[in-house]
Formats: sequence, C-alpha cells, structure tokens
Amino acid sequence: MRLKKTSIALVSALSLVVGLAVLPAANAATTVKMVLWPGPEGDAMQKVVDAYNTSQGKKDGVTVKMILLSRDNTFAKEAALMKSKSSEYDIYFTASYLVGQHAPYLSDLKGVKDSLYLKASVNSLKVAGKQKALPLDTSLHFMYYRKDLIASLSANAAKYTSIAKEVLGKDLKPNTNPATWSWDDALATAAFFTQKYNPDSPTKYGYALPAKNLLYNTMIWNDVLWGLGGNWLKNGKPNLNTATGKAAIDVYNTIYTKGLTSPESSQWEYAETNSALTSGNAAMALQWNAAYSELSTTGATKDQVGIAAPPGKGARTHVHALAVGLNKFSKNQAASAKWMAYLATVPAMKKYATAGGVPSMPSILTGMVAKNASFANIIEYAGKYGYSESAGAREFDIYAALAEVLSPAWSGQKTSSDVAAAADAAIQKLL
Amino acid sequence: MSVTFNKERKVAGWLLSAPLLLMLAALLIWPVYLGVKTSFTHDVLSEFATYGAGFENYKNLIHQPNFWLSLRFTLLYAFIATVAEVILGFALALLFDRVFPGKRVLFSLMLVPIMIAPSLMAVMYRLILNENIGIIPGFLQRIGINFSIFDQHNVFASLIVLDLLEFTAFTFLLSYSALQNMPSEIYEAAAIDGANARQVLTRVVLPMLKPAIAIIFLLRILDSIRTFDSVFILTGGGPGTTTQTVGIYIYKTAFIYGDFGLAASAAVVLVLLLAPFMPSIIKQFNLNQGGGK
Amino acid sequence: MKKKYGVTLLASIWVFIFLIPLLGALYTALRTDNAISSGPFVWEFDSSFSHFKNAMGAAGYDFANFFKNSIIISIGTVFLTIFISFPASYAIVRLGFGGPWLLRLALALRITPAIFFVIPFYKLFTAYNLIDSPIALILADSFINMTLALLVFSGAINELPLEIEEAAAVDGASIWLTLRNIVLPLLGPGMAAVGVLTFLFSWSDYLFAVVLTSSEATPVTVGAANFVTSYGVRWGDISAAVCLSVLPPLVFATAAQKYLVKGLSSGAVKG
Repeated sequence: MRLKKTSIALVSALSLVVGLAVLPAANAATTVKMVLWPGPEGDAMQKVVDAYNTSQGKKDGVTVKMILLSRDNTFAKEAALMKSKSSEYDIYFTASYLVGQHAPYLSDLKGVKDSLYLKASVNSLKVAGKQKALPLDTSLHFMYYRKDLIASLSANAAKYTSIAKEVLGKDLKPNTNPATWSWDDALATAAFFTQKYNPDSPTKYGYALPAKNLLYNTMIWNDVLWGLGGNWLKNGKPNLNTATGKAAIDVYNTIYTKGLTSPESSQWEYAETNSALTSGNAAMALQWNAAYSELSTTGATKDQVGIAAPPGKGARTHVHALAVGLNKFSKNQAASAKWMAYLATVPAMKKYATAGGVPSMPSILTGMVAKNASFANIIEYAGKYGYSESAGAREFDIYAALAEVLSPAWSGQKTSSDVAAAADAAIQKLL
Repeated sequence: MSVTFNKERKVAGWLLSAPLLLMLAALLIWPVYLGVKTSFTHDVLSEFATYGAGFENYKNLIHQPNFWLSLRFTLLYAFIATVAEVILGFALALLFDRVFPGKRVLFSLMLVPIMIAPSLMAVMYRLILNENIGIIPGFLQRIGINFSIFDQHNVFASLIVLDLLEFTAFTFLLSYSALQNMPSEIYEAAAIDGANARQVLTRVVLPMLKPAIAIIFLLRILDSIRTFDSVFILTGGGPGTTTQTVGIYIYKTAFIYGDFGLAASAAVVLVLLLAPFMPSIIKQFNLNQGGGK
Repeated sequence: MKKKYGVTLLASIWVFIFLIPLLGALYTALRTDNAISSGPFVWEFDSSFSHFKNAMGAAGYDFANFFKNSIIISIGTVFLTIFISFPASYAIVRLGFGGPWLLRLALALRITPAIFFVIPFYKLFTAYNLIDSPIALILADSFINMTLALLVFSGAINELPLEIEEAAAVDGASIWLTLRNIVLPLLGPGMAAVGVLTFLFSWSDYLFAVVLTSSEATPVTVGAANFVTSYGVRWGDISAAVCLSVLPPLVFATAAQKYLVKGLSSGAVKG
C-alpha cells in the first residue's frame, strides 16, 4: 500500500534528520559569537575567522563563531536584541548609518589606529568622539558609464545640442569627460542615448534609475542632493522643502517622466540597475562601487565600463562603512577584545581583502588595484568627495521614511512640490 | 447509554482535546494578550525605555493615511485575486475531471506552485520578468509586444496575475476534490434528460457545489488578506505606498521603523475590523460540520 | 473509448503556464553568469553546473543545514499538527466536546492574519529562548495549519458510518480502542491530505521563518534569499536553490497524490 510506504519513508527521513541534529559540537576555548550578514562580506570574514581560530586564536584561548543573520532583518533583529540587553552575541554587525542608534549598546573600542584607515570611514564610526566600531568594508557610489558610447559624443555635437534643447530646454554641448559632469550634462547625455529621442542610440535608455521604495535607493538619490549643494538638514532643521531639495527630486523626476529610464525602473533596485547596464539597455547609472566586478566582467559593459564621481560639485558621494562593534552586555569582553584587536591588524584585513572583502585600509586597497581597478577610485573619491549624513540615532529610519515619501516623485506619480513638505515632516518626526 | 459511559465520554473529550487546548492557551491567548498589551505601550526599538502609552498608538494610527490606504489596497487585491482564482481553479478542475492520457503526471505538475515558497517565487519573478534579462519580456519583445510589466499603470494587474499563477493551484486542488463528490449518475441522468454540458454545469453541478465553492472562496480570501511575501519582494509596497498591503505596513512599522507599539495597534485594528464578518464566515464552514452526533 | 488528446493538450498548456517560474529558474541555473546578465537569449551553458554546486554548499552557505532545517520543521509540523487536530476533531464531532465553540474558535484563527502573531511570537519565543530553534517554527507553523487540519478531520470523521463505532461500543470496546482500531485506519486519506498540505505550507513559510530564525534554524526559503547580496543578486545560484528546494515537497506530494484528493473531498470541501 502506497500510504504505508509513504509513512515508512517519512519515519526514516525523520530518524535520519534527528540523527544529524544531535551530532556533537565540542569546544574548549572561550567562544566569541559574532553577527555578520550573509554574502561576500560573510564569505570573506569566514576566511579570517578560520585563520584566527587555527593560529592566533589558539594563543589567545579564543574561538570565534560567526552567525550569519538573514540580510533583510539583520539590523532590526540586532536592535531587538540590544533593547533586551541580550548577551547572546558578543560582537554586533553595524554600519556608519546605524552606529548612532547602536552606540548606547556598544563598548568603546581602544587602540584603534586611525591612520591605518580611510579617514571618512573610521570617522563615520565615532560617536561623541569615541570609536564605537571597527570598519570593515567601505561603500560609496560611482557614476558608471559606457566608455565606448561617451567617446562617440563629440562626433554628434549638433544632434546632442538639439536633443538637449528638446528634452531639457537648455543649450548644452557634449561633455565627454564624465568626471566634470553637471547633472545637466548627465541628463542631456542620457537623453542622447535614449532611442525615443535618438533612434540611432545603441541603448534603448540613457539611464538606469533605481527608484523602488527602498532605503538604500535613498542613499543614492542623496548624492544628487549633495551634488547640487543640498543636505537633509540646515542648522538642525529639515531642509528638503527648498529650491535645492526640489531640484534634486526633479532630477529623478525628469529622468523618469522624460523616459530616459525604463518605465519599470519604479520597481528597480541594485540588481535591476546592474542588469540594465550589462544587457546593453542603458548607458549610465549612479550605483554602488560593489557593482564594478560584475559590470567589468559581464555583458555589454565588459571592458567598457567607466567610473566617475557622481555629477555635481563638492562632497557628493555617500560613504559608509560596514563595521563590527563590541556588545556592551557581552559576558566575554576580554576575549572579544582580543579578537577585535586581531581584526584591526593589517594582516587580518589583508586576508579579508584576498577573500573578496573591500577593507577600509588604503594601503591594502592600493596594493590590490591590479586585481580591481575600482579600488583606486574608492580611495580617491572617499577622500575628495565623501560625505555622510549625521542625523542622529534614527538616521536609518529617515532613509526608509524618505524612500516612502520620495519614491512617488522619483517615478513621476507626484511632483517635487507635492512631496517636499512631506519629506521635511518625515525627517522632523525622526530627529 | 450507561452513566459510566457518559462519564468516560466526558473524560475522553477532555483528554483528546488536551493538545489542542494547550496549543490554544500557549499560542493564542498569551500572544493575543501580549499583542494587545504592546498596542498600549510606547515600544520603539531605538529608544532605551518602554512605557505605557494608553491610546497613543491608536490615535497615531487613525491619523496614518498609509494604514487606511494599505487596508483598502489589501481588500481590493484580495477580493479580485480570489474571485479570479476560484473561477480559474474551478474551470481547470472541470477540465481535469475526466479521463485523459497523461492525467496523473499533469495533475502532479499542476500542484507545483504550492511547493515553492511565495518568497522564492517572487525572487524568481524578479528575474524572469526583468525587462533586461528576463525571458518573458524578451519573448514578448521578440513577438513584437511592447508591454511594461512593472510600469506603475500595470503593476496592480501584474501582481494579480502573478498571484493567480501562484495560488490557483490551491483552488484547483480543492475544486477538483469537491468535484469527486458528484455522483456520476447525475451526469448520466442529466444526459438522458437531454441536457447539454452547459446546462448540466449551471443547473446541476454549480448548485450542488455551492457550499464547497463558498468554502474555497473563504479559505483563499482569508489567506489573500495576509499577502506579504510576494508583494513585499516585488515592489517593497511602492512606488510610495501604492502597493502596500496591510501585512507590509505592519511588518515595516515593526521591523524597519522599529515601532512595535504602533504595529501591534494596527494588527489589533485589523482584527477588530474583520471580526464583524466572523460569525457569517464561521456559519459557512458549519455547513459541512455536523456537531456532536 | 476515444482518447481525449485534446484535453491533454489543453491541460498541458495550462501546466506549462503554471510552471514558467520553475522552468525559468532551471534555464537560468544552467547558464553562465555572463549569459544571465547579457540577456535572455544568450545561449551559453555552464557545463560544470557551478550554480548547482554553489547551491549545495560551495558558495559558503550551509545549504545542507538549510535543507535539514526545512525537513525537520516540515515533518515536525506535520506530526504536531496531526497530534493536535486528530484527537480533538474526534472529541468535537463524536463526543460533542466543547459544543460548536471549540471549532469556531479554531476557525476564527484562520481569519486572524498571521501577521497579528508575528510580534507576540517574536517576544514569546525570545522570552523562552526558543528563537532560532526549529521548535519555535514547528509550534508557529502547527498553530497556523491546525485550522485546515481540524476542518479536514472533522469532515472526514463525520463521514464515517456511525454504526461501526456503535457496534464496537456494544461489543464493549472503549473509546480508546474504537479510536485506535476502527477510526484511525479509516482516516488514512484524511491523514495523508492533512500531512501533505501541512508539509507544503510549512515548507514554503517565509514570514515566520524570517522573524523567528537567525542562523542555526534557517530553512531553505530564507537561506535561498541569502543569494541576494550587496554585490548583486546571484541569479544563477538562487535559481539552482529554488529548483533543488522544490524536489522534496514534489516527491512527497506525488507519492500521496491520490489520498490528498480523497482526503480533501471527504473532509474540507464536501459539498
């Protein structure tokens, strides 16, 4: 009888599973539990952890165990654990934009050598002058563009000017050096490579706009705001319901409503933006530095991807560092500090870099430029153009709230005037 | 029946129901108490202290247009998707309710969508529906159809179709099972009376299966109202909050904005709003339940 | 009898439509990363099946562990759900226990959105240190699935001819013996239906899994989502994980297909 067979299969599967579950896990040294999120950072850190556990850790009498929380909820769950003053994990995963919120729950770190790190990164992890976390990966934004396409602009100056006039109503000449672009240059170039305006364009759209309601997309839009000279706050008061704030919203609004990006980009985030570039459907995008490895090795952008700082002037690329901090309520403070001390050394971070991480130490990044050309840009842009919002304990929440308020304007459902006041109100509520 | 037998029945009733009662006590009464209590508490993750807040969260909630918009969106979405799924599921069940070559294999394959987690299904949709690298838009472009699946004008319809592709398997399975209760003599009798297929369907099959269809509709719509995974992964509730379900609203409030108190009050309000419908819904279920015989 | 190939064709078309996501995943998993990011019709296949290898653990994720967790959670939920619902259904239907109220209360559960329970469960399981343990998910999933199980069982028990049980009672058999020797064997299909549906629903749970687990008890649904990284979505790997994750429930459901329909038709959806 089949039913019987099924139940036999069930029972044996169950016993097999129970057998697997009770396999012993022996441990003698002090175990330090560290939270990280899965993905390249977790993969790379595992190599460092393994190296430590088999060498220095033996001397220290410390075994590090890494716990990979699911990406979606790492920070929400950490906040819940912190609030209950949990001692379950000794080392928390944190980031520049969260350290204000996490600071009351983290021990101060001593003996961190600032000079080893990118200044923007290590400083973004200080709260009231105290180092609260150790930088791991530095993230910032690049303007990615197709080198082959931008090179073709000069030969089509007249056409460029007429398209710019048609779409933006401005008199513009081609600017083939994206490092010196204003947002007008970027938009006009995007229009030139949009088939709607230029049927000869090899790409269907000039721009790939990540406009989904997602807090990480707010970080990218923020570059537009800064590049135009704006900021969330002025003298501690919300500052988006201003000419500059609206102009920054209008840059996204124009890209979307003029059709310089796909109508679907209202649901795009990181992955979709990348695929628009690699598939040859879009010519440029403001995107995270992490995308470089995929863009430079696959699809239409293979060997053709160029990097520039975001358009505009002054400090205009968001910089943040992922980081680890020591749980104030951990019962293994000394053991955790030993592991953190190891993690702050150049050899440890070198292992991290070799395994695929992007550590915030310029000396290591410089040495690896041959492997990943974008590392040189990271050092340069973080130093020259890097900024980070400092809006206090609820900065992370503000990013999320702005995504919700601004995304209808990014995707042309509303205008900048419709949402600017609401954006200020949302910030005010979370200050 | 003897007195001892009645006593035994009573004891047995308690013993047999004990696991259910324990489960309800542990996982229903305690969480409901906790949920209601949280809804009267100022409980924000990024703040050190938690304290009683009276009706503060409820007052705030009433002034949150996003909550009411998400409620409206959820009900509209659930109703349209469920009606479509019941109709399509029933139609497919009628198609399968006969002998044909390959039926066994095809029947199993029909159920595959139930086996994929809605969350993973949504990630797959992000891939195969991706305008740049997805196979479906690629195919549409090849045959000359220019349709933007995630354009904001189309996104509602697209979400409904994706819901349909995923959950029709469930209404199909239940409809098909219900059809197995139709005695075959009825078809024969109807055929002798000279009724055509359509008349058999509208005058015999549908009236007889009305209670079953009602149950399928209810089971499905109650699940639809909780829609979270797929919409959250595909649109994040956006642009803005145009595709935000109540599930997404509560999840974001609690786990992204860290406001457990407000999220709990939203959950309580949702249950209170649905409560008036509970008696009639339960009555539908009782149609096939005899009670103690 | 005339072979109805027309019906086969029509049914196949619908099956194909419903399988598009899975076929898309299979197609993606078999291609190279370059082909995936270049466009849908770039024919460049990965002869080393690296995406499947990554999904099985080469990428650094402990996929074997995710599968193990999913299996523990799903099978645990099946047993707990049956253990809770079957005896209670008998008590409700045959012994009149709790009048109509017990069943109504359980039905009201189905109406209460699962999201209502997310926050209390998170707090409850944290308080008892069950967060990130399969037990938390087994309890949560059983709780959600027991309504459907009660419906199926009470419907099916109601269907059994009362005379057999009465005859047993006359012969002096106790309620326990009647339940074990007469009712239980007759409820095979209902049991299979409940088992399969509970297995499928708990296998595909995401909401509770994402909130109640962090790393040790992570099931496949949440684990596969780990291929969405800050360096992009690893489409090939996640597609392979989806293809693999379908296999256990597919085998399970196919084996018990006949009883699934029989159990449901005598239970939940009896006209």
